[in-house]
Amino acid sequence: MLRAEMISKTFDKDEPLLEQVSFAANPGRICVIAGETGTGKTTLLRMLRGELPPDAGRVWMAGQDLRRLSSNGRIQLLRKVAMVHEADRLLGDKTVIENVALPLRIMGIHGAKLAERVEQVLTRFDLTRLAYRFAETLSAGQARQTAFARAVAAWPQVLLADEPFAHLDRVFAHRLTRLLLEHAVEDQLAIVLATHHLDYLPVSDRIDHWQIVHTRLVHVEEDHENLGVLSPTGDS
Amino acid sequence: MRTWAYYLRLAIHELKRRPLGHVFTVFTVALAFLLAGLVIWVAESVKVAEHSWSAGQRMTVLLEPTLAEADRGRLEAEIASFPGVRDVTAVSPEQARRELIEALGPDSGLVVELESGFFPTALDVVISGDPETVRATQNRLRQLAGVHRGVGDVRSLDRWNLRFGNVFELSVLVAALLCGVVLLVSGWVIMSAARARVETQVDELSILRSLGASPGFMRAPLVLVSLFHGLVGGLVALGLLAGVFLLGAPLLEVLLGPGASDLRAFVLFTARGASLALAVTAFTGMLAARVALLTVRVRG
Repeated sequence: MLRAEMISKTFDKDEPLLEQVSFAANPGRICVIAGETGTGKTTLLRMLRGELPPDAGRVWMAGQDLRRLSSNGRIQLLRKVAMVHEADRLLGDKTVIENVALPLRIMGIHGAKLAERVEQVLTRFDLTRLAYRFAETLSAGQARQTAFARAVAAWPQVLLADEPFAHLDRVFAHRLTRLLLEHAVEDQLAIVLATHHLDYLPVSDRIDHWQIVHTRLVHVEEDHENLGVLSPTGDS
Repeated sequence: MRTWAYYLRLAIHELKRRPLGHVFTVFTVALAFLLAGLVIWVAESVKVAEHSWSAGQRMTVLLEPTLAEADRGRLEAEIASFPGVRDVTAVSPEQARRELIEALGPDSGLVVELESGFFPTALDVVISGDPETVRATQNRLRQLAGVHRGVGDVRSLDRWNLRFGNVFELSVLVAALLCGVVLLVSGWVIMSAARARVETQVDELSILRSLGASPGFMRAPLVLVSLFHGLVGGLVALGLLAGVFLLGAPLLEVLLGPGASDLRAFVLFTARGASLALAVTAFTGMLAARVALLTVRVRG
């Protein structure tokens, strides 16, 4: 669905950040991209979303080369490829329900259809009791849940999340990832999580692990006990 | 329709969120319109005064000596039917001579020696009404000279205009220039207010863009709020202008003469001012929103 093909990015001429990265996100699965701070996780996500052009290589979304998108095509891409940022970026003076409804309103969905979808998402993310709370009054965990609920509300095809477990404890992160996994399966959503909190992730055969090592993205065996051991199977 | 209802809700939400800021903006807009309105009003008043003074409201139609009495009566009736003509009086040569001697007083020595036949028979025409009517009738009367049988010449009491006309034209030009400058400044003030408001919403706009909002979706509430500023600011300015008009009209009449502060003109001006206020704020709001959106990027 979302595919990167040998993409590279350099900000400092002498020091490439990412080189020849190939990667694919598939429906019903979660891809975890791990890496230390400053290794290019956020840059990679931004390139996958078309916010940043790669210096070389291509990114494809549903068979479309992102470089060839029109301005309207880019708007549509942002709707298809939702993103949860490290800072939740909620509208603080709006309620949880208004925040979750926002992407639907942007798509021109109103009335019963909107209400039904918002209720469904709020229920799934266990936010019903917080529906009328203003976003600025939420705890870090509640705000993160709301951010994810908002991101998935308008049926995106891909969900990218940058440091989704920042400021969360392990138990909460586990629960959130389980929720996302359920959502990925039910809505056939492809999820990409960029994090350095690998120990916060539950074990599942639906989670693929990747790691950025020295500008390259490599596939990692799904062995949480030995995440430092890298496998060259992910052709980087 | 529902989308517009949502935009309206967003706009109302924005107005409620920063009431003081919006009150300040409304008064800034009102002040700008008030300044523009005052300059336009003074310019209009000067124009009205210039019309009524320079054109003169009395005209003299000099008749050929050969014109028969019956034809003169017909001409009198014809002129009396022109719009704005209040009175048409025939002045005989003897009457003209007598009035001139009276007017010249001690300097009338030379005129006394002249025979009454030296003066032509004339029709004294008094015109009143709005400046456009007066001017149109004056032009119509002037066109009679040499064209209509028996009419030798048509003269107006416009010596005053010959002397001071240039000064008035200059003052109208200065007023128009001033008006242009004030309108430009007003536009800039409104634009800055809209821009400043948008600046405070950059984060929010960035979030909307990140969620895939179209430029129209982001712009619409901003333009609605700008329209609100224009509407309320324009109404406040017009209210203040009405106050200034009621208090200042008598003074203006003293300074510039009767007709300088025509209420009908003010009502027309009000309608035009309100439309202009809306148009200006809609345009500047849209422009400010467009400029702001250009600076907003999808941020991580």
